[in-house]
Amino acid sequence: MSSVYGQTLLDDMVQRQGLPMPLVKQAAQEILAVIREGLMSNGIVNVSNFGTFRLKLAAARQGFNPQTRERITIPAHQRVIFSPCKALRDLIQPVHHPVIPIGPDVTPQRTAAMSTPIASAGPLATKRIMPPAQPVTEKPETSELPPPGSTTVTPERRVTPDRRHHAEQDETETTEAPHQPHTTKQNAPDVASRLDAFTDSANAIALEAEEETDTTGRSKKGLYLGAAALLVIAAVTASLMYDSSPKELPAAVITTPSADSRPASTPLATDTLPPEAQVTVAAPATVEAETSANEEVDYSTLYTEMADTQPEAPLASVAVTGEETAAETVSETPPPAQVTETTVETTTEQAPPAITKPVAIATDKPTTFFFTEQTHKITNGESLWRLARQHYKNPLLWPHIYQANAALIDNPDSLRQGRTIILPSLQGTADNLTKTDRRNIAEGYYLTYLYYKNTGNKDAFFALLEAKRYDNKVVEEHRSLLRLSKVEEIMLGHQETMPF
Amino acid sequence: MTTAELVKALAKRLGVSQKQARTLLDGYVGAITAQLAQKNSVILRNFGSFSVKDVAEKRAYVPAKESLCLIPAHQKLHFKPAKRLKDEVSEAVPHE
Repeated sequence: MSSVYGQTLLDDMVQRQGLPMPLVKQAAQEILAVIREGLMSNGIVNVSNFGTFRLKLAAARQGFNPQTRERITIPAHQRVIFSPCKALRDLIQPVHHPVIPIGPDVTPQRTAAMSTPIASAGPLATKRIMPPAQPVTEKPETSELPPPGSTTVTPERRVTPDRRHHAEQDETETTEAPHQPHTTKQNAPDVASRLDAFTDSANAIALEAEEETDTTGRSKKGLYLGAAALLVIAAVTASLMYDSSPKELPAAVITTPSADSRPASTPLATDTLPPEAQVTVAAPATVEAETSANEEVDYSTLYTEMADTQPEAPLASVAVTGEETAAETVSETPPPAQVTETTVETTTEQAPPAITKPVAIATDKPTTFFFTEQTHKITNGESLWRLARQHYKNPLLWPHIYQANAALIDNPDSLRQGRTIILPSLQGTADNLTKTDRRNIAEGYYLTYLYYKNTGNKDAFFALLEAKRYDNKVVEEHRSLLRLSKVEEIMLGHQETMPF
Repeated sequence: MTTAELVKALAKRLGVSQKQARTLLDGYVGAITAQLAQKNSVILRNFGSFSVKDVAEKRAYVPAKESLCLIPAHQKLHFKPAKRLKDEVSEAVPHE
């Protein structure tokens, strides 16, 4: 392990090859000179049976003088790299010991990082975005809930925890694939514990509301049941209100449609309440069908209405729901929430597989949005993630931009420099998204899923999970087109939708 | 720059045939390699030094295996360019 200088090499050569020393000496000098000059002119010099010398640019960086602790800038320079050829490498390390994979229970950080915006977004997003507030849409019913209403609903809802439990058991039994189950198992207890936390909490109203959203999200059957239950409550409350105080009529009228019970053609007509209630009680399922049909026709009026009510919507509604205070103040809060819901539904019907842009309609009247629509020319080094961080204050909302520019962006992971894209407006803040925002983001994630799926990215599924997290409807609409594996189905079933 | 080009340039400078130049190059490189095989460092003035370095065992994500792996301790060749080579090259080659 000693050091050898040039002269030793020369002696060695003379001895082995029997060449005269002066020639060898000059040759050694010239060889090194030629390599040096080759590096200068070509930047790369290959010496067979030895290796390759090449140059690598080192960018300027901040350093400091260790003696004086003075900050200095190390200028950009070229580094000389030598990569030995295989023969030489094998000479240095003759035996290559195998690389041993350390069991699957040690998750490599890279796998999480590879799906950066999607998988790793999970916990962070939950922390940052999920407000402790209760579901906004369910608010009218829960706060107004009279004793008879709650009794009619509870038996049916009690079913859901059991169902959830079964699903968990199934999942633990069926997961046997090498990599996937790992993530599944991680997800499952997380979800379960969170659900437990919910059930343990003394806030019964919150629980009911939460489960309501879950049931609706879980299956069509659940949706119908939930809708039916809500219809009953709505009808009861409406009739009660009507009987007790005719002055509160408008409030009652407006709260009913949020239960999906009411044709959208009559949101402002205050006199038609009794027939309304009769219809809802009579046949909930058919009425729902009618609703969707009617909504399609009348959404334009709803949009205008929404535009009027929108300004206070995000902040006001959540503030009230968070406190869960006044049942009587409901008459003020429901309009924005209810209207946004119906608009989203209408867009749902409008947008079959090819996803249109509901944003465009919403931004017709830019009021006090968190971020108002802008155009943006992509410059070097920009990404959706970075743009979202810059403009929306939360990089996790990047699919919002992708969704609005799906035609312009071929690859969401790399943007083309020089193209002009639209930065769509964000109605709510990053921590408090409106339903339209959520839908757009979910669609963005769904598009990402499709892109990843087409390009064979195995993390594609995480994009779908995110889509469900933001808006379950988006996933449900395309559910028939998705070919999910069994494990993926289970994982998707466990993915919670962000509560309102 | 390929080895052939290197040999050609060398032959021109030394005033020998390309075949001889090739022999000289191979002999020189062979002499360095022989020393490195014995784990000796080779120090070439104003050019740089070749040395054999020990790399300790480490854990790293191996993309091919798609998992965290234990990479055993091994040895590798390390080249450190001389200051003069570094400076000369850096001056000659533009870097923005």
